[in-house]
Amino acid sequence: MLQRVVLLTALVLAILVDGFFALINFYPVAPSRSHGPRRYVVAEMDPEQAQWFQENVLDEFNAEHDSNLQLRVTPVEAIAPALAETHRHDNDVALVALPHELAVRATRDHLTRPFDDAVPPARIATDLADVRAEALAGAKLDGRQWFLPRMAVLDVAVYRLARVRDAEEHWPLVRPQIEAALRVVNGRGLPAGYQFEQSPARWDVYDLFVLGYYWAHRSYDGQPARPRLAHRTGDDLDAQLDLFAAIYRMGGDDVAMQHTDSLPIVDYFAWEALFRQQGLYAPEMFASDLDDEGLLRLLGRGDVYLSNIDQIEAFTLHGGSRRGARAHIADPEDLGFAAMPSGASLDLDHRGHPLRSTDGFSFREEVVWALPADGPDARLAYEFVTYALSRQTHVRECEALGMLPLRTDVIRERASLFRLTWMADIFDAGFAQLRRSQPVPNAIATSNLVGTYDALWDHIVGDKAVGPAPREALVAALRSPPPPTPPPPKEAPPAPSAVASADGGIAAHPEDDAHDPTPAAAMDPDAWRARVVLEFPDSGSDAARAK
Amino acid sequence: MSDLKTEDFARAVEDMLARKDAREAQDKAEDKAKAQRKEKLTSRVSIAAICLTMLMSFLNFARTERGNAQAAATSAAAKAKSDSDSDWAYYQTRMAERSGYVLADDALRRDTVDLPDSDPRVGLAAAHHADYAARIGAIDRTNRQLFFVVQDLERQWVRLSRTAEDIGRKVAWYDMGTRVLTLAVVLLSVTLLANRAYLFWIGISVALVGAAIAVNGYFLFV
Repeated sequence: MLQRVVLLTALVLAILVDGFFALINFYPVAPSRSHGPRRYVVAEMDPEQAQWFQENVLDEFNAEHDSNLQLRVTPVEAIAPALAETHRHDNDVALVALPHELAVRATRDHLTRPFDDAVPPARIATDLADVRAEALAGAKLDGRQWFLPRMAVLDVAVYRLARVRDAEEHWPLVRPQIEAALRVVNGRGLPAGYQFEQSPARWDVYDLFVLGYYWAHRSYDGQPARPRLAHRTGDDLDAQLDLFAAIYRMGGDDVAMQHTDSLPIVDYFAWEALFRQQGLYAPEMFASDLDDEGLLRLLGRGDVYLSNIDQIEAFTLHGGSRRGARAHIADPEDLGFAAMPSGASLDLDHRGHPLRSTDGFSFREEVVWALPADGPDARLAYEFVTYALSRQTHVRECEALGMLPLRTDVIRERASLFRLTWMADIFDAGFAQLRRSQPVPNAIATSNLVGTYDALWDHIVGDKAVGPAPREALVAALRSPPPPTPPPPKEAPPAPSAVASADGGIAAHPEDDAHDPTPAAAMDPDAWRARVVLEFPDSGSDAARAK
Repeated sequence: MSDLKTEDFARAVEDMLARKDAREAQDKAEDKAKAQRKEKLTSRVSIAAICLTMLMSFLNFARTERGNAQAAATSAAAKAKSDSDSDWAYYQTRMAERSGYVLADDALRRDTVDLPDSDPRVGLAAAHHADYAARIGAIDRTNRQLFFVVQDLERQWVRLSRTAEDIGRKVAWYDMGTRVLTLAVVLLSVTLLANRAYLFWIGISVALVGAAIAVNGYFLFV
């Protein structure tokens, strides 16, 4: 009896399977399973980057994994509060990208959970074996893989190639004035045997001074000469990091920062005061706060020829890294990129060499992926991170958005993978800088040092500057810093915006593929004919023509 | 006495004949039962074989279709890659052309730097300079678009390669299913030759495993 039942069952099964395979010949592709509920990946990006990320990374991941991950663009300061509400109705946040220090703070507030809680550590090690060990180690907390690396952001120097070539060729015309300006503060002038460094990767602060001085007195295109150097200023975090990084570049560290009259700080302010006094800094730095966008505008308009921006902004400024990424400058091919110049003291030793010199430096902002403590689908979020870090996706993302590669194989092969010269230049500058960088110390964000140094900068360099002062006066000013200026009330961060529209589609944005970059320097008759017109307002108009 | 012997003999013969008849009847019954079992086994094997061969043919059709789809995706991916490579080669050619103009422009500058503005050669050089600048601008514009095309083609290449890989996984499961089903058919054939029922059940079990593998090839549960 039993045999009969089994036999009948087998027969029915066989008929069903036969029928099924007869049918699938008409439907060879299996119907896709439901994409599941909508989940959010929260990150800060500009709208164009966000659109690219959604279309090229998230949507492709969704298609391959039958998932429904959507990007929600949120200002970085609003990400941590968003973590607290990850499981609210219609707010299923599966993953967030935020700077490491904010991620650590969110973890202390029990708002995140470790990745090794959702996935065995051995699997993480296997899946991410090609990711730089330092990046993975940097994303650990208390010995656990609490986060996973997303990207590292650091500053590089950006400059106008044609203007640097011009300065390289003609700066000796203003050497006496440069020597005189420096002699006032260090009693000698340029260091002994000084030659302008032709390789931007080896520039130091003296080379910057030479460039800045030459440009500030060089008239281009018949326009009056104007200062051509700038860095970020104001209450913006980036501006504060610029200030701190510049002190670290002079040899500062966490200990030196506690004493406002320590040598690196004196060196930094001595240089800043000199740059300001000689009128080498763009007036926009002092008129109001100069933030990232303002700096990019100045570089784009050709008002500033040299500054420091992070490598992602370098991609934005240049444009052309992906369809729709328009250049923010008329002649992007005229942009050069290098690691940040090294520091040197204004004070010279008895042989005429700088008493103190240090390597170029930049703070490194480590952005990490973090899992919300109550977030849904931790495994899906992990799958997404490994997908984003898979070789081909990672290469495309680095190329389109300007992220420094994290995979060792991509770093090794970057010369052939990132084929455009300017991209390779930015990545080379970024990796050179990576060796001379450190994560942003938590002390900067949490202590009141920021206010103190801001006030000092305003007092010595900024609008409230009292004018050129001898070293003793500078040290005295540093020893008694003015009270920190209270920061203006912060505006509420704008509401997060999902990139995808309600039906999952992407809102269209105008592409600017027809942008016409014009080689401005090549068209500039003055530059071409090497007709150098110099201006020295103090001694009237002093025009020189050099051949 | 002789009558008695005759009777006994006749009875013995009758008994012997009866035993013979009984043995023959038993043999006949056994033969019949054996024949019935074999017939039953043969019909079961036949039905199973029909189901399996049908399944294998349908599976083969599906496998061939997916194989073709994989080949098409692979070929489209290769074409995208090849187009991207040739576009990139064109990009580089244009860049070499651009470098030529830049060098020529530098040479112009060197040649005219010592000449006064009034020298007619300066005017000519200025015209060349403007021409070079226009050409460089045109190359930059073309190359910008060309780079986007290269990116699009590379994206297409990656996507199609992944599709081909995905289909390849299905084909691999179908192939494995077909192999297991073939093994089941072999076992069923041996069942007939050896006339052993347990081999039939082993064959059926193997066939079920093969069918499950084939179904997984369609849905890719694993």
